[in-house]
Amino acid sequence: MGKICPLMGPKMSAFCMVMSVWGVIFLGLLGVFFYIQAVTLFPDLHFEGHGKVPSSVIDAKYNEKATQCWIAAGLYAVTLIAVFWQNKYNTAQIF
Amino acid sequence: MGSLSRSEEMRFCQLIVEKDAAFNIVAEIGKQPYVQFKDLNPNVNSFQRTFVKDIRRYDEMERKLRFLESQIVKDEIVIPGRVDTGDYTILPTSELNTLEGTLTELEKDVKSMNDSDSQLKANFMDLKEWDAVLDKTDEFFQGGVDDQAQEELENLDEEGAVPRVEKGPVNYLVGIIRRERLNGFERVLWRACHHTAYIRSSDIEEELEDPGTGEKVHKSVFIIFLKGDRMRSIVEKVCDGFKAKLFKNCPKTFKERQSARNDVRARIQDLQTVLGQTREHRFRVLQAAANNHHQWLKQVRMIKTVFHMLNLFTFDGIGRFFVGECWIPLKHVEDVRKAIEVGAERSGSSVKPVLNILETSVTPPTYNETNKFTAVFQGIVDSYGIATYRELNPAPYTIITFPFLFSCMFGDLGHGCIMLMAGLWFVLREKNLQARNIKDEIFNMFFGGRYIILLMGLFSIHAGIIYNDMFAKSFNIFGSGWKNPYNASEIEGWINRTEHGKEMLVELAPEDAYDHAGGPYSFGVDPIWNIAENKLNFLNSMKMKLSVILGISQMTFGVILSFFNHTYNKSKIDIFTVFIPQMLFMGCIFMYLCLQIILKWLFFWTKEATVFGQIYPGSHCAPSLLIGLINMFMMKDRNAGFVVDGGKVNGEYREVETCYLSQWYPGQSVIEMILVVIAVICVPVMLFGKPIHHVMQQKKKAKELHGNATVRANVVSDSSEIVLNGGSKKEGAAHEEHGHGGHEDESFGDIMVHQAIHTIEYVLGCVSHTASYLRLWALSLAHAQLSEVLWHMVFVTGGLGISGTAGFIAVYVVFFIFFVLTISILVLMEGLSAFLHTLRLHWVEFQSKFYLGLGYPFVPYSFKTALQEAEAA
Repeated sequence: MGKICPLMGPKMSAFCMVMSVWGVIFLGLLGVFFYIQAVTLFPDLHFEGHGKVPSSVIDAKYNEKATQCWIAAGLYAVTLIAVFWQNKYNTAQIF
Repeated sequence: MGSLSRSEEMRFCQLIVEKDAAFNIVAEIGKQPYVQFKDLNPNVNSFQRTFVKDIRRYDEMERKLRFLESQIVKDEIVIPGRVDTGDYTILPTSELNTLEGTLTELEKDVKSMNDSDSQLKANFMDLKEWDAVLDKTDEFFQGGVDDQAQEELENLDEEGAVPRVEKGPVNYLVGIIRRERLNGFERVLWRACHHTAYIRSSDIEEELEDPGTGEKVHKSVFIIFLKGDRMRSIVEKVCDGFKAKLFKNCPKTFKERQSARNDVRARIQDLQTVLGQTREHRFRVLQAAANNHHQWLKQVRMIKTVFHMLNLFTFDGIGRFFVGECWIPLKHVEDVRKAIEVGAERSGSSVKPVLNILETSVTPPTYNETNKFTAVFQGIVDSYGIATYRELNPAPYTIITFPFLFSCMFGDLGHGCIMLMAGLWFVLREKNLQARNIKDEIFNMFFGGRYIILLMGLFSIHAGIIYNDMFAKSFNIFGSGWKNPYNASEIEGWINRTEHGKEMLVELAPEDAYDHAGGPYSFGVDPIWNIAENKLNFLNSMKMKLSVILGISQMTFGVILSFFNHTYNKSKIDIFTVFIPQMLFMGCIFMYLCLQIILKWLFFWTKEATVFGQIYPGSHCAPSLLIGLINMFMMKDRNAGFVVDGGKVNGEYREVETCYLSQWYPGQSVIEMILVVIAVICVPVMLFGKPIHHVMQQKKKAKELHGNATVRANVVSDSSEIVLNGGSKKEGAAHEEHGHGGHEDESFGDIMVHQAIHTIEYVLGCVSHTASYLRLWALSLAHAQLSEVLWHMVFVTGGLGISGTAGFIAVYVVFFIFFVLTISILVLMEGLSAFLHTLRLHWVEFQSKFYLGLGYPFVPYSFKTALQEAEAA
């Protein structure tokens, strides 16, 4: 394990840790807002084709974006675990 | 008011102490930052002062400490503790003498250890090279190099290339050269010996350390075969030129070389042992020194500080006492007295020191007592100018107005949260971060401003809620006041009639869509504006008006503060001829404008209504305040009312052609004329009020002097002595009655020019500063638009816009980029920009209304300050 740990120095791992925490929070909340179909997020749904869009398509789009955000939040949670593990191998503590 | 509203009262004091007790007394005073000594020997240069010898002595000790510190740092030993531990006790003289001896011996020890270490290293390298030479030489001969050389050289003889005059045995030389010089060396040698030298080389695998520079270098061993003594001298010269090292005593036989190598290796082993022990000893010595280094440095710095302060003192007439003069805050005079008594007790002096309060006409230094929270705001104010003594200090108001104005420009709930969390981290981890003694300049700047960052974050959250803005998105907490006025069939019809690919804009007319009875969104901007096409039109109008109101409020507050300065200075003429005209000028024009803005917001809407007793047809007739203000000054004739008299014709009012320029309340024309007249009258009052008052004072004074002459004439008839006494007494009385110290010498011309400048500055300043406050809107607009660009162009286009499995990865990657850009551009760069603009609004627009800033700071003598400088070094 001598070469693998630590891949990141103390500052890099601390920065990535903060970004991961914020990613989980931000994307998690954004997923919630997409799920409850916030009106202000309507322009961010991209619809292919033109013409009339039935409300079922809009609902599906909102759900798709919500899922997308939540999966990204999950990926950030995984990153947080990895980075936290890296941070433990650094003798110098940033916080 | 609180202690921060004005600078502290200062007293000019004289300190008289016995010579023997002076050091201890000044040392006791230095434990608290309450005394600023005045230099009583300004004409004496630094090298002729009383305690130069002592200062040089402790300077030498400090130099030794710096040398030891550099050695400690070089060996990567950590110096524990800090210089400033809060304990400011100076050691007794005997211990200081011991310390001096210890430092001298330590320096000598470390230097001799350095020298012996260098010598040992040089010896070590020499032995290493010798070992390598022996090793490679054996390699050469085992490979049969000598036979080849012999054969080669004999062939040269047979071919007649060299005359047969010299025919001796073949000899060889061995040496070491740096690897990068080897090629040049070989070429030069070949030519210098006329192609009769036979050279071979071999690299040394191990890197050898250069004793001089300490860096690792690659070296090679070379062997040269040659014939004749003349060749030998040539070879030696070339070796000198290339700094190659010859080993002339290399043994000739294998057995001797083997024996020499064994001997060398044994000596290398011994040297390594000695080197290790030397280093270990050096480490232990430096470790012990490191454990005491900060305490020693603290003592030396404190003592030097005391001697520097004593150099400001002078002697009394007898020569037995020291006399010092200093400024002390009034509320700390007793503390200083106690410190002096403690110092005297420690000296065992029988004579009690004296601290007299003297009267002086010199303006005292300005001292504002701050704590870690208020220091940053006081620093902002002091950067503009130190307050004049006892002048009203803007810092307490800056604590709220600065973060508030910053948030008007920076307002975003998300960015405010980020800034708040950064501030919280600085504040909550305050002790930990201080203990680490980080020396990065940028970090220290942010850390020093941690409380202002915290407040700016809080206020930005508040502004974000009002603007309803969070990462360029709105949030709906209280329920929007707008609703969809159209039914489903209408919408269906529009969709069917719309061409393919064309987006349709639907108008929400306020009369139908806005819930007027229910009232507006409870707190802040209605979230409907976030998706409105005319969002900017609405927000710009609102924010501009808000900027004007806030700006005029702050400027008015500044003028009100000037009233307290005038009251404190007991200057009634300033109140009547400066403050009141300024308030009237501000009120008649700019406060009136603010009032109009608020009334327009409250009473004018899109529906037909009767406003202030006049019929208002609709929003196209809403009064234009800016043009109205211009017309107000130009005294233009304006129509009364929005519609022509006579009631409705065919169900509609007949409107005045330019109804938005009409008078919108009864008697507006008369009222505005009165306001303009008052404002115009205020200008000459500000301009000529003080000069006229000065002239009247001068005349009054001249009249009294005339009366004095009369009295003198009457007394002449009695006797000459009575005349003299009576005259001087009267003059003294007259002088006391007109006690305006500064104004006595000021001429009418000076006052006139001074007042003209101030009046012009104020009048023009009101106009330009009001326009200057529009930056609150401008920066807020820039911030919001940048935020929107980041959201739409980076996050949505690059991340959320992608569907499917790639979308997950895209959001994951692009969010990181989006957020790094958010922090670096929107929080840091935009934050810095808003900070600088807030700074200007406070320094110029606000403080110019009341603040002179002509003082000089109180710089107290304190051990804490001296030790902090030592720590930063």
